[in-house]
Amino acid sequence: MIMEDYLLALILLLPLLGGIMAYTIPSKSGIIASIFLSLTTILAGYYLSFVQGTLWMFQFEWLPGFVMGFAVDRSSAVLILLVSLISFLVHLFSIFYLSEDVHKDRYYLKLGFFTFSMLGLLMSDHLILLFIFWELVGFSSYLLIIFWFQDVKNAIAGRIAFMTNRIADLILFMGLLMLLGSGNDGFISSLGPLPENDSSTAIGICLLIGVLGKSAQFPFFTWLPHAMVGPTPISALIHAATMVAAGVYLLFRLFIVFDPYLLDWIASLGIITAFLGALIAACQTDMKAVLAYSTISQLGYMVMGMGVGAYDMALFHLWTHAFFKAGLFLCAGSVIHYLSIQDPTTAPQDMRRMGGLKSYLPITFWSYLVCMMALVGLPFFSGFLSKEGIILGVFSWAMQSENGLAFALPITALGISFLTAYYMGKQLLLVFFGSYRGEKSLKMLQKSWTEILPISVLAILSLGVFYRIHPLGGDLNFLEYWLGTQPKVEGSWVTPMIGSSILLVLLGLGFSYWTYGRQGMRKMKSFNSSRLSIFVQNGFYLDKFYMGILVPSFDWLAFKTSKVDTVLINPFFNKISVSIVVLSKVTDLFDRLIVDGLISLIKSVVQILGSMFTKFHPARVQIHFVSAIIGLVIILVWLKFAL
Amino acid sequence: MSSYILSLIIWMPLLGAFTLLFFNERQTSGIKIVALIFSLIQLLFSIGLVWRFDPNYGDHLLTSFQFVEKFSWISMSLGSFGSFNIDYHLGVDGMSLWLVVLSSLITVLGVLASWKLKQQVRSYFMLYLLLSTSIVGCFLALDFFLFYLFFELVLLPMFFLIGLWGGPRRSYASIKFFIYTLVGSLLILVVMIALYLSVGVLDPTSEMMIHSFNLLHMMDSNYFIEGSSLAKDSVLTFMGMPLRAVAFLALFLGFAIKLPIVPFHTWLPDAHVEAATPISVILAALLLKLGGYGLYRIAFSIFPDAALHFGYYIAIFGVLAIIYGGLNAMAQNDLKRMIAYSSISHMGFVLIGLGSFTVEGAAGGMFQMIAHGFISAALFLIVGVLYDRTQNRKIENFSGLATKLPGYSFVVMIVFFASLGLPGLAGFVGELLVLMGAFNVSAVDGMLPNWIGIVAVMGLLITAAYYLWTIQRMFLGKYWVREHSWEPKMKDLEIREWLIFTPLILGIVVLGMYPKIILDTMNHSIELFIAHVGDLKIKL
Repeated sequence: MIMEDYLLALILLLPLLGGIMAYTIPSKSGIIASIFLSLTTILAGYYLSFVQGTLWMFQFEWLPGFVMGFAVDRSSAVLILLVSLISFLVHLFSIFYLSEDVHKDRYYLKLGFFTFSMLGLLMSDHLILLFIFWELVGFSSYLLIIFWFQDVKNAIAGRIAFMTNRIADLILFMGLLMLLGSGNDGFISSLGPLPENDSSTAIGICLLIGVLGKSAQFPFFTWLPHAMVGPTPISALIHAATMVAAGVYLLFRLFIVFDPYLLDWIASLGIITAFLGALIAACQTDMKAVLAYSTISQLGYMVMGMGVGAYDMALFHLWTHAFFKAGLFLCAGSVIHYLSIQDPTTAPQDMRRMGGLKSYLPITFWSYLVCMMALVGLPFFSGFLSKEGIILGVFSWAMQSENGLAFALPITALGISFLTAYYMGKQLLLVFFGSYRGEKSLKMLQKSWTEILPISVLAILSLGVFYRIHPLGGDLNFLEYWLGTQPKVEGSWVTPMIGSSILLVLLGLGFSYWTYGRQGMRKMKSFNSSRLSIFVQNGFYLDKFYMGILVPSFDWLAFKTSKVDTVLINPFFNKISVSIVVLSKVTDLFDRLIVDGLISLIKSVVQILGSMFTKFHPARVQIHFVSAIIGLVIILVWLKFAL
Repeated sequence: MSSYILSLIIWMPLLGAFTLLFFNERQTSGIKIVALIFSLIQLLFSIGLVWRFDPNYGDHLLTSFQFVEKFSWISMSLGSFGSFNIDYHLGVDGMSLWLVVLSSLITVLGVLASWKLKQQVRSYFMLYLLLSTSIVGCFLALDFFLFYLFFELVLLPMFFLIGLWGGPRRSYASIKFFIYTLVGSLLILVVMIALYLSVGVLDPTSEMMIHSFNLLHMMDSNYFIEGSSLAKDSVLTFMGMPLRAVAFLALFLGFAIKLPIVPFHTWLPDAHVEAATPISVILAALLLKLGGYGLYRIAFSIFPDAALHFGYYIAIFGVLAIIYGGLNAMAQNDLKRMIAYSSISHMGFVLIGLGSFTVEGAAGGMFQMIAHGFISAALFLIVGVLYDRTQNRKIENFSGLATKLPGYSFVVMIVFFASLGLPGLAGFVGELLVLMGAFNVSAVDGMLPNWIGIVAVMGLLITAAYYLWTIQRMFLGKYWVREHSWEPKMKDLEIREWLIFTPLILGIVVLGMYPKIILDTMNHSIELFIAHVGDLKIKL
C-alpha cells in the first residue's frame, strides 16, 4: 500500500520540517512548530484507525548488500500516537513557557529534531537503524539540556547526561554488533531466540546495559537529575514521557533474545531502581528533582514488569506514565514560571519557599492533583490500572518461581507504593497548601490558553475511565486493542493484593499529611538536616562517586598517557637523533684531527725533511738532473734483469 | 580505453605551478586566482572521472583498473642482469577513485584557506601545487618506481611549506617530519629494489629476463622468478623470519609511519601544530591517507600471505592507536594538538579494518579514510578560524564562544559530533563497517578475537569524552576570551570561510546519511581486493 508509505513518511518528517520552518521564521516559531505537530498527531491517529495489526514494512539498501528497514505494527503505532500527542502538547506549552526567551527558533528546531528521532526510533525495524535513531535521540536530548548554555552549570550537566548515555549506548552498540555477527540479518521483526552459549549471554548483558542507560536505571540513573537543568517542557517530553521510555521499548522489542535468567536480573535491577528512586525522591527539596527521581522509580516498575514477563502491563504503564508524568512536569513548569516572574530568586524550584499556590494557580493545582492521584495509583485514575497490573504480574511470577526470595519483589513493590504516595503528598502539601513562604506577596496572573490546555488535556487523559469503565475490575479494552492481551491474573490473592496496595497508598498520603500538613516547615528542616537524609538526598553519592573518583581517575590516565609521548617516545627518538648528531660530530672530529691531521703530519714531515735536505744540498740543478737520470737508468736496468 | 584523463588530473596543478613562473612576487591576487583555477580544473576532471567510472569493471584485482595509461619510460639493457624497465603506468579503481576526488577537493579548499597569505605568495603556491600533483600521482601510479617517485616528491614541498610558512618551532617540526617519513621511505625503497629483482618475465626472443617495477606484476605470484628472494616459495630467511614476512613488515612500517601508528606518531602533532592551517588540512586529510592507501594497494596486495599472518598484530596496533591517541587527545590543552591526536586515534580504525580481512572491514577502513579526509579538514579549518582571529589556540583561553559566534559554533557542533561518530554523519559509517568486520570475523573464524572490537568501541567513548569536554569548555558557558585585544576580532564566519566549510559539511552529512554514494563505486574493488588478499584464508 503506497499510501501507508507516504503517511508514515509524513508522520516521521513533519516534526523535523516544522522545526526547520520554525527556525526560518523566528517570530512565529512556536505556532508554526505546533501546527506541524498537530498535523503529525492527527495523521498518527488516522494511521492508527486503519492499522490492522499487520506489519507495515519499508526496506532500503543503506550500504551495498546491507538492507535496513522500517516497520510499524499496532504496538508501535500506538506509541507513535503517544509521542506525537505529548510532543504536540509540549510544543503548545513551550509557547507559554518560553515566551520571553530570545532563542525560541533554535529551541523549536531542536525540539522538532528530537520528535523526529524519537518517532524514527519507534518505527525502525533494524538493529542498526534503531541504534542510529537511539543516538540521535540522545544527541537531541543533549542539545535541549544545554539550551541555556550561557550558564556553565547547564553545560556541565548536559555533558554528564550525554556521556553517561554514551557509555551505555556504546555497550549496547557492541551487543547489537555481536548480535549481527552471530548470523542475524538484523531485522527486529525476524529475531529469534539465540542459541544458548557464552556469546548469547554477552549479547544479553550488553543489550541490558543499553536499556539501563537510556531508561535511567541503577547504576546509570545519575544522569536523569542532571538532565533536569533543561527547560521544564523538555523534562516533561524527553525525560519523563518519551526518551527514557525508549529503553523499556527496546526491552519489549528484543524480549525474545534475552535468556530467562537474565530476565530475572532485569526484574531485580528494576525493583532496586524503583526502590532507590522512590527513597531519594522522598528526600528532595527541589520540585523537579522529586519528579525526576519519581520517573526513575516508575521506570524501574516498567523494567521489572518486563523482567517478570508482564510486558503488556509494563507497556501500558509506559503509556499512562507518559501522560501523568508529563502532566506533573508541565504543572511544575507552570509553578516555576509563575514564581520566576512573581518572585525571582536564584532557586525558583525550591519547594521550601513555595506553599499556598493553590489559590493562585487553580487549574495547575487541579491538574496536578489528578496526575498525582494517577501516579500514586488510586482507583479511578489511569496509573492505578497499570501499576496494579505490574504488581499482580510480579506476584504471580513470584508464585511460580522456585526461589522464595522472589517474593521480595512484589513486597518491595508494595512498599514503594507507600513511598510514592508519601513523597507526592509531601510535594502537594509543600507547593500548593499552607501559605506562601517566599518574600513577596503574589498576584494572580493572566492565564494563557497555551498553558492551560496542555496541562488539562494531560490531566484528563490520566483518568482511568478511558481505559476501563469499572474502577476496580473488568476487561481492559485498550490493552486488548493495543497488544491483544488481557490481564489474566487470577487467584484468591488478587483482591487482598489490590486492597493492601490501595491501603498503603492512603497510608502514605496520610503520613505525608501528618508530617507536613500539620507541622509544615519545621518538620522539613529537622528532617533535612539529618545525616541520613542528606546521604539519601544526594542519591547515595553515586553521582559524587562517578564525578569525584571515576572521572578524575580517567583524566589522570589520559594525563599520564600523554606523558608517555613527552617523557618516553619523544625523548627516545630525540636521543637517537642527538646521538646521531654526536656521532657525526665525532666523525667530524675524527676527520679533522685524525684524517686531516695525518695528512698534515705527512705534509709537515715532508716539509721538514725537504727543508733538511735543502740544507744538505745547495741548489745545483744540473747535477741533480744528471744524477736523477743516471739513477733512473740504473733502476730500469735492474728491473730488466730482475724480471 | 585510451584516455589521458588521469594524466590531466595529475599534471594540472604542476601546469599551474609553471604558469605561476610568469607572475612576479607582487601580483598576489593573480597568483591566487591561477592556483584556484588550476585546482578547480583538476577537481572538475576528477568529478568527470567519477562520472565515467564503471563501478563493476573487471573480475580480478589485476584487471580491474580503468583509464589505464602505460608508456615505457626508462628502458635499458643491463647485460646479465636482464633489462631495466620503468613504465609510466597509471590506472584507477574504486579504492583510489575517491581518494583522488578527495585530494582535488581538499586542494581547492586549501587554496581558498590560504587566500589571506601575504608573504612569499608565489613560492608558496608553487610548492602547494607541486604537493597536489605528487599526492594525486601516488594514488594513481601503478608502477612502483613511479609511485615511489611521487611518494618522495610529497616530502619536498611539505618540508618547505612547514619549514617556511609555519609557526615558531617550524624548523624543528619540519625536520622531524622529514626524518620520520624519510626513514619510512627508505624501508619502502629497500623492498622495492628487492621486489624488482624478484619479479620479471622472460623475453621469449632474446631469452633475457625483463625486470620491471609493474605493481600488477608484483601482485601476481606468477610473475615472481623462481628461486628469487621474494618468490612465494622462497625459503630465504632474515634473522629467522621468512624473507617475504620481513619485506611485508618493512613495507608496513614504511607506510604505517605515515598513517601513523603508535609509537611512530610523534612527528604528527608537532608538524600539525607548527604548520599553517591549509597545510595542516592537507597533512591530515591527504598525507595520512597516503600511508593507508599504500597499505591497501602495496603492502597487502603484494604480500597477502604475510599480511594474513600478521593480521592480528596489525589490528592490535589499530586498537593501540585508538586508545592511545584518544587518551592523549584528552590531555591536550592546545586545540590543534588535540585534533592531531584524534587523527591518530581515528586512523587506528583503518588498521583494524585491514586486519579483519573482511569486505566490511576493508570497505570500512577505506570509508573511514574518506570520511576522515572531510572531517579532519573541517577540524583543522575550525582551529584556523580561531587562530586567524587571535593567534591563539589554547582551549582554556576561550569560553562561551557559542554566544558570540553562533555560525562558527554550529559548524563546530556538526564537525565535532561527526568526528565522535554520531550516526547520520560521516564518521559513524566507517567505524560501523570496521566494527562489523571485526565482530563478524570473530564469530566466523576467530581471526580477530572479540576484545579487539570491544576495546575499539571503548575508544569511541574516549573520543566522545574529549570532544564534549572541549565543547563545554570553549563554546558553552559565559562568553569570555583571555586577552582584551581579541575582543574586536571575534567575528562570526565570513563568506570565504562559509565557502570553505559548506562543501565539507555537505560531504559529511551526505556521506553519513547515504554512504552508498561512494560505497557503491568502491565496493566492487574492495571485494576483488579481499578476494585477492583473502584468497589464502580459505585454504588455511
